Amino acid sequence: MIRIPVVGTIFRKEILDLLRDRRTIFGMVVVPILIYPLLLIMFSQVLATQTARLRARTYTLVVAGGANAPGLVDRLRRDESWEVVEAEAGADASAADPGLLEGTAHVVVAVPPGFLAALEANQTAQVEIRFNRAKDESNFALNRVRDEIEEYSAEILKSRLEGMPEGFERPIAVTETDVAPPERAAGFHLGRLLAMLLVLMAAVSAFYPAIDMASGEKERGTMETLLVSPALRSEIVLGKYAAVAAIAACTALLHLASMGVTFSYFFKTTMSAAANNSGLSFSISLGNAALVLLPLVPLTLLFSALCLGLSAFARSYKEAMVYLTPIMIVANVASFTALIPGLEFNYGLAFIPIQNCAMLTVQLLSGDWKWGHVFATFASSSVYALVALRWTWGIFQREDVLLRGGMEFDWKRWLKTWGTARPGLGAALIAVIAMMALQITVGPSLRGLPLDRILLLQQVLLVALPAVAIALAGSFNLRASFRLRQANPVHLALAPVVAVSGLVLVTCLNGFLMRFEFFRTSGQEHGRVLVETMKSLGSVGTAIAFMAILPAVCEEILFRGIVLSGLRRDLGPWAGIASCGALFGVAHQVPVAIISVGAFGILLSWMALRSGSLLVTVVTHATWNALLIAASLDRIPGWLLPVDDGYPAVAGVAVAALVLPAALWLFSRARGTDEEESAPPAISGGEPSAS
Amino acid sequence: MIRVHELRKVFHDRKRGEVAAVDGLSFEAPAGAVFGLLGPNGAGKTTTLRILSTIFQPTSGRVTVLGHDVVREPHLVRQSIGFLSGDTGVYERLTPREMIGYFGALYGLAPAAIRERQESLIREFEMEHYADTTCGKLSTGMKKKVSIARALVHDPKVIILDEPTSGLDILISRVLVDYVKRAKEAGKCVVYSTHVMAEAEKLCDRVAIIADGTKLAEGTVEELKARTGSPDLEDAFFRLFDARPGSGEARPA
Repeated sequence: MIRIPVVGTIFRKEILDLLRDRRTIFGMVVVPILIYPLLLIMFSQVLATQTARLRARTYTLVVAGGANAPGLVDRLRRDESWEVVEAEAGADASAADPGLLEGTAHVVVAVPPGFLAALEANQTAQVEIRFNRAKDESNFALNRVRDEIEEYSAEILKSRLEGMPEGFERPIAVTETDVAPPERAAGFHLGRLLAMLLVLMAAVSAFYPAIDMASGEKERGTMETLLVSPALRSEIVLGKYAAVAAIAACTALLHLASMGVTFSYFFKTTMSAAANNSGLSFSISLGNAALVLLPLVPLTLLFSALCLGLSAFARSYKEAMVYLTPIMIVANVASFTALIPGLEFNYGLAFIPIQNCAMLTVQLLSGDWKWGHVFATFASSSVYALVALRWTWGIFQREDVLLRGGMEFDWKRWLKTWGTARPGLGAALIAVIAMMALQITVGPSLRGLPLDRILLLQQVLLVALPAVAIALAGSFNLRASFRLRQANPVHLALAPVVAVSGLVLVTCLNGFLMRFEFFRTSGQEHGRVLVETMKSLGSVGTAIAFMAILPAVCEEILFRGIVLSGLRRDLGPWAGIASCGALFGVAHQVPVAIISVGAFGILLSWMALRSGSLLVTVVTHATWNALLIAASLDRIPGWLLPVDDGYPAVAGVAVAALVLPAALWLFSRARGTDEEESAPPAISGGEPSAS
Repeated sequence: MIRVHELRKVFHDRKRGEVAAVDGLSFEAPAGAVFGLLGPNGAGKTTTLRILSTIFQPTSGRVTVLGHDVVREPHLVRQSIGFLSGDTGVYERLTPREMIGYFGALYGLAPAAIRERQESLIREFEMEHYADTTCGKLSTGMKKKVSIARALVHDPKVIILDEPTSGLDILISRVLVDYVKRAKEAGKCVVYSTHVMAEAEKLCDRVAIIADGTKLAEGTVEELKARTGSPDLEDAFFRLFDARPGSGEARPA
């Protein structure tokens, strides 16, 4: 039982303690208020003086072959800021290059002999400009010379066109009209920048209070004082967590407010003219500004929990810094993804921590957002924060970490016990997140390869490999984690029966869902892509190999392997089955799949725990996929599985509804091969799948 | 009041492997008496007291405080003890008054009771002129007084003191020793660990001499002196220590 008053006492003390620390006040109040105005003043000062300096100075312009174009040279001479140097007659244009490289000359204009003749013949005359891109002065001089020559060219054109009607030289004029409301366009650009800053601030703001409250408390020798008080470990963790989150949220808010005030002032005074010219307004409404605070909530909750846990794990301030630095780097990289053009927010992305908040900020500011995305982001972030908190609580239970310093990594012991550990909730979540992050980041780069190779790499590299890598890194027992056991022949024989009858019932569910607009559009698109992929693979055999068997093997290694093992250990059998099914559905990234594939995932998870063998679920999964392929090629009688998103015939449903429970009943009667599974969930009558 | 039966605590050490810091220790500490745990550094005193205060979990054995098991009811044990050791620091950014108030609240005292305890403890340990200065600015002795007041804020029935006088000048030591005497008369159970024999001789009603995690002898100071034929406790300690089975090194478990 957690006593709220005790949590409150700890929270109040931690806040008081932190606010008395000069470092907190500096980081929380002084830095946010001062840093943006100072940065802006410095930036605009440097910019102004530099530009003025570039404008004010005289530039050395070398003209080679000036005699070929006296008109041009005269024009250039008119400007006082040019110091025009005539190159020796007959010298090569590149003769002045050393001067350009050293900076004694800024730009070279070389006029070939036929210049005047070409002009007189109404042809195009050639001029070469040589410059040095590595020098600001040279770039500046290049722009001015180019402008000058274009102006000259325009004048000549005008005289050539004398007598011609207006618009002769410009047959087509294009007008571009942007229909996006000005605040949406501004929000779209500003949103990407803000998303990055927001993620960074939430991470930085939680950094210091978390270090101070856990590893700082150890270092100052007050941890033991606190631990002998009757406060429960959970109360201590919650009180400290609330304090870190509160301080982090306040700091981030101050950062945002200071930044907002500074930049709006800046745009109003100096940039308004430029902004008007470019057609962009950088003002965002107050309502939009308030929306930005929404993603800040899950970000703060997550970072506070992560930082507090890592800080408790460390034995000193310094060690905590070392552990927290990677979090900052990860946060940075994740926030950069908000800048990737064309990356659309979807329900799959909503489950990738940190990145989901960055993407959500972009969505919110561009005004093109859905409550479902907000909710999914909040839900997933809260779950991750809870997992991190539970981990922190676990650390506060460990006497070795709390008092005897940090964990010492013992190579010998690790090697000796290698392959004996079991995956937990953390490993399961990391495996799913790694898979989804890889799909988004590496997946698109596979495009362009032959289709069969894409499918192979996608499944092996992006699905199975992360699971195996995490198992190896965690020194998990591979046989137990991936259920590499022989299957009971009864289970193997029942697997295809379960697949057929289960698929018929799930098709019913799917058909029902597809009647709703919300599911239909994305679901039909998904189905169309699958059918196209299948057709371009050529033969049915190839389709079954690459789209039925391959995904069955790889997805089962991940989901019914390490993910289910981890979830089952920490959540228990039923919650493990349910959450594994849900994750399996979510990973398919299509709303309708979250339910229908989720139901299939629950069925597979139950079979995996019950049989103890991954082979059983691989067979079920492969049969299921193969049936779907056959159905879409119209090789299955329509009364059993319809081609489109319709319903199977009543007779088919009735048969399936009788066969599936019977098959599952027989399945649960047969002995599993997992000798460790003490109480495998058995079923008495009904069926666990959600059809 | 305190019962320790066949207590064993094994730590994993990188170089030495499994090391038993406490190995089959048993004793009982009654109410209204001061029980001394005597032994050299590394004998297992601190580990034993940390198990008593539920910071460490015993590897095996049974420990109860006021009938509460330290493994099954750690919060009830913590509620009834006052614990003070060299490792229990004070919050440097809180004042002595806030420190007492914070721990009073953690022990579940009502606000009025907290105010009353703040006043009486500040008076008792003569902290009036720095009660509202943050602890970071106080001297070692002053901080120790704050620590003592912190440990006693809930007027515990059991007081566990782990080498409380180490590093203190004689004036502060006397404050502590005086308090222990008063607590004993008030019927509290005091467990006092030290390696200063003179202190133990003056203060303790019963002592247990421990080395390498095991008990070498237990009895009143007079009994131990008589048994070893020593003029004082220090001499008795040396005789018992030299006659112990095994060498001076920690035995691997």
